[in-house]
Amino acid sequence: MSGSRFEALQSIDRRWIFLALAVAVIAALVVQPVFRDSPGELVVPIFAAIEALAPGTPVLISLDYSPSSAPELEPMAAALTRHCLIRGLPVTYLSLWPTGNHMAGRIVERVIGPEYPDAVEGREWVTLGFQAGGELLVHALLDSLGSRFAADVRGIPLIEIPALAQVTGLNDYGIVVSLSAGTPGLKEWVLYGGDVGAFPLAGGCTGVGAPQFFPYYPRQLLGLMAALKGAAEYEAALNDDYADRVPRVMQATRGMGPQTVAHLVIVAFILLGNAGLFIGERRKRGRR
Amino acid sequence: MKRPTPQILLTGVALILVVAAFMAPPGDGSSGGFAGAVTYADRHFSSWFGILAVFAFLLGGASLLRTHGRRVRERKADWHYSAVTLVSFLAVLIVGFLKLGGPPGLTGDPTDASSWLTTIFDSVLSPLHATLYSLLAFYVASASYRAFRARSLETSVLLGAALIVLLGRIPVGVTLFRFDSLSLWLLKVPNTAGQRALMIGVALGVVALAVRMVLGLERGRGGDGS
Repeated sequence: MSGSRFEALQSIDRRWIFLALAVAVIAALVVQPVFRDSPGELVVPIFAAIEALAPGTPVLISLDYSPSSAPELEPMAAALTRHCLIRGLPVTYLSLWPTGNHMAGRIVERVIGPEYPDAVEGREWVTLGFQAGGELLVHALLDSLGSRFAADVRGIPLIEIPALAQVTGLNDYGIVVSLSAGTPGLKEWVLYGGDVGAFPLAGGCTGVGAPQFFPYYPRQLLGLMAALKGAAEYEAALNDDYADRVPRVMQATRGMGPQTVAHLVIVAFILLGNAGLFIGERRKRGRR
Repeated sequence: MKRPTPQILLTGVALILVVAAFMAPPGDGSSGGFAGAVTYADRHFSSWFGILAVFAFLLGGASLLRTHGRRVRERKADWHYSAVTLVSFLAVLIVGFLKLGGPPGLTGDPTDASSWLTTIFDSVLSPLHATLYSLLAFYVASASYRAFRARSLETSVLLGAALIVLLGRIPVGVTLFRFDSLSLWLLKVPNTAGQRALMIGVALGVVALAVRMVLGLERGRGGDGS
């Protein structure tokens, strides 16, 4: 191979990279390979905390994301919802993002409706929806949900909702989980909710956002579901304990196939570029 | 300072909130006196933000209409995009306000499956968001290929960390190389150290900026027009 070919390895046209990635991901979507995961160190504490709650203990899930990050975060919301409904824990959905109302609607439509047809809105779950304010909303909810939410998204007053019978403020929740794609999100929940209140706080975040939350683990965050892998690990924990009550292959586990292939393609191109650099440099040194 | 009122408001509210955050006694603020006022502020100021937010939304909407309306009227460069923005904004606003297709009235659920807003969300917004976000994967792949080159010691460390994290986050990397623990260690130890340094530095900067604003030293606040 001539020196120019090694140099070519260092400057592959980006369109070839795009094409290779597209072909690999489409092939993985068609073939649907399933890679089983196992619950990791960051996810186990969240699963165990929900497992330890007595039936009837309310759980709050804050859906702080939009459709762009839903492929990573929605599987977490779905897995948490399944776990809570199986354990008999009423779920409250709210959101610091304006898109949150519909994100909650999608969980109801895609998970609760088809898989738990006996679940009743208001009893097994309630959607409070979006309110503006970010960190100020979290702060206001510490003492009283009613200070910012007069009713749920259907217009039913909070006092008439059985799922909220035990709830005055955030401290009455067995656990609060923020699934966050940015600001406002998990960071605001840590600083203005978990650190000030007396409730366990856990989180889920996108892959790019994960590094910023590690300083909060494990003292300020009980656990962290990082990216699709975090969701797949939670699904694996559900499959281990409730194999007969949840789908065998859930959303995140299915998504790990294309993600694995995409990562491998990226690694292959990184190695190719470095191989070109390494061999090219050696040839240059040899010529000298 | 030309306008002292905004500065007095800012300083007053900021001081009350700082005192409330550190010293608010328990209760609902009905005890009266300074302690009662501080507690009341701590409990209620954050709720008042909801009222302010409504005005901010109105202001934002009006500003959008004015800015893009002018661009369309004056046929400025790329005015077509402004027209699309205006039409989309008004269409969603009308559909949302009138709760078309879904349960009517002030308390009607906007997320109801039958509402037009849900149709717009599912058929327009979701695919657009998904498409834009998916493109990132392609740019990340291309950027990784170009950036991660072992040209020096520092870039070699970066390359090594990138490969470990990339492989440690997929089942194949975990099974073949057992990179999961190493990847987690990278995130938990070196990453946390760097993140903490960054967070503490930023926090100190924010405190300094807040103090300057409270004292009226920050230019651009208090109506001096800068």
